[in-house]
Amino acid sequence: MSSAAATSSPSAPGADDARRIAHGLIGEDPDPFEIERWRRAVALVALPLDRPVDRRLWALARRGGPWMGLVDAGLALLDPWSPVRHRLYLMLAVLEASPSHVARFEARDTPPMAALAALAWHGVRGALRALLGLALVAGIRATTR
Amino acid sequence: MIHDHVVVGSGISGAAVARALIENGARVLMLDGGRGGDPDAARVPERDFSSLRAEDPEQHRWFLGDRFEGVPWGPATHTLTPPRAHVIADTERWLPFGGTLARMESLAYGGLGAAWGAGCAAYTPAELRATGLDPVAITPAYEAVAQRIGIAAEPDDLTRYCGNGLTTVQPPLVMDGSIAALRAAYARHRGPLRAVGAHMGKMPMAVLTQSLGDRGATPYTDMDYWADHGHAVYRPWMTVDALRREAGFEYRSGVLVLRFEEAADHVAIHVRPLDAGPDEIVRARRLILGTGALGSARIAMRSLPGIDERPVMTNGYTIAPCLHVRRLGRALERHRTSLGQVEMYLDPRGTGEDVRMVSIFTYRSLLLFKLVKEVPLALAEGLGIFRTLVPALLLVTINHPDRPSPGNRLRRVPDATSPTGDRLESQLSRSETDRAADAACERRILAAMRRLGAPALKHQSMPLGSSVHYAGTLPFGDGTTPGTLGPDGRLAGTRRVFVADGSGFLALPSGGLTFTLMAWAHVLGSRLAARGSDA
Repeated sequence: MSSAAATSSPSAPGADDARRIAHGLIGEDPDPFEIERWRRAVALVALPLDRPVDRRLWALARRGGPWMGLVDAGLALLDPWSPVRHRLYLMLAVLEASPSHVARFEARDTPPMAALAALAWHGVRGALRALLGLALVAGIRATTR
Repeated sequence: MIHDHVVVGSGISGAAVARALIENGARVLMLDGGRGGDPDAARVPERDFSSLRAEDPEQHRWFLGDRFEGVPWGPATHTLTPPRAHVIADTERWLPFGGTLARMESLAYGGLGAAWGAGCAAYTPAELRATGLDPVAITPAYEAVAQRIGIAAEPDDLTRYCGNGLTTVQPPLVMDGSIAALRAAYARHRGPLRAVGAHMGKMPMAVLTQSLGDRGATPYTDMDYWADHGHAVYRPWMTVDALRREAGFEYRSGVLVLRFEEAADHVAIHVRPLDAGPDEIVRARRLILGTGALGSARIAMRSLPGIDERPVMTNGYTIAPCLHVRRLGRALERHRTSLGQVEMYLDPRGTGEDVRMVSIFTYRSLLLFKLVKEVPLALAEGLGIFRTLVPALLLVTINHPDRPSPGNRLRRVPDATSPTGDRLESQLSRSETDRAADAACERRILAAMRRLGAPALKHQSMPLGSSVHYAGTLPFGDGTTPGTLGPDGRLAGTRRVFVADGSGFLALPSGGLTFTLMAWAHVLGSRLAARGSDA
């Protein structure tokens, strides 16, 4: 499927989706090449959003902001290989394989206590997100035929 | 025309047997799928991983692949990086396979060896005898192969387990900081660890640390999964490249050997062009199969009556990411190798039998996104955690030995959808007894890792076959029982067909069979050349 064909579908991602998702993942905007690369990845390899619940969750995730993180966190527990997460994951891969964002992925020398603090921060934030995301995704799954 | 020797396959076994034949004055035609020729690996710029990541706008082409084939989704499995993906090109079509064995076969130039991890475990004499090989013949062959391909090694606590008989070696690979710290911890706890059967050291590696011929020493670019920088890591295609410059050697790619039949004074080999054209017959005084235990069994099953079901062995394989606590917050060096730098052998009874081989890797150049999907957290959180953890992460892979088991079988079945009209079906399982023994050994290995300051975060048994070690499909015997090999490698029921790969092995030690495959092929090729093609 071409990118043009991808954008003709209501669930196909556009440039704004790409920006919101990239921001939700690493807090930085993708450049136009990365946006196009992600859209091409989605068109080529992303799992189809066949189930109504996937389409609802995708609609929520593509809003970006806290919604994306909650949908992702909930799915990570309830349906880790979901097509919605797959789209987010493809963006993560595109961003990592780009020199623009290398600092967001590269490990640096840090004092051990700072490393532990970073782990604790991500762990606590991840657990909170997981709790809220679990409730959100479970609710959507329960109310979607 | 009747060729003297036809060798099938350009991988580890095919390249080694062809080289031994040529060196001893024989003439050889090699028939090969020949896919790829590794052009992608050659395109990856010869720079270190960190520089390439920071500066190369084209990096997505090798890290993700032009069709995003390097972005796996789903539970972790054994996958190839995009520059190595040609290794398995066309195999689904031409070598159809089903069942419970996670198989990897190759039609590539250089075979599976084009993606090999370069570990060169020399089996102990006891392991060689269990495998059906003669230590008196194989031990000097290890040395001969080592001299040709270049081996980095040093005497240490593992020499008795995997350095048997090796004397001509180059200096070992330089360890990165994390592995050096682990080795230092082992030195501190060596006595108690050895008392429980855990021994640590370096496995011999087919990596140059000094130049050898036209190959250079490893540049420590940390790009070993993506490219063959400097040709420091040995690949079988390097041998075939060299053989193609020899007068007695002829190479033909783009063909699949289907089956053979023997005539009074030759073997007729049925060959199918992979791209187009009618089947052909190639005639030879001797046929030498070197396509791996699955491929050689497939050809034999098609050619001989009554052997449509064969045994098979594979090393059980478990992965355990461990957290090297004292390395938390300390980034890895820019210049390092991605390959295994240290191994542990668990000798559960202290007898050298049933040992388990553990490879320990630090993680960087396979990128974070592949790890992030493995944790049950939002990707953003997973990224934050792994970015902090990765310098302290040790990937521990545990290989278990295997032996013949009645339940582990390969069958050739008709398949109208296959271009060859058949496919292989596998049925494998690990017995409860073996599972219990594996689990007990894994507990001891992970306890040893804890003692070294690296507790396991997770512990995952991979599908059988994930080790990509297969053997025992045409086991050594007296040379008369159908579907077996004689001690000289001749396929029972034939006079002119020999098998140079691991099909004959009667056991599969945990240490990885690649070095022994090369040694066995070297012995076989030398013996056959000495006999002459008409003998």
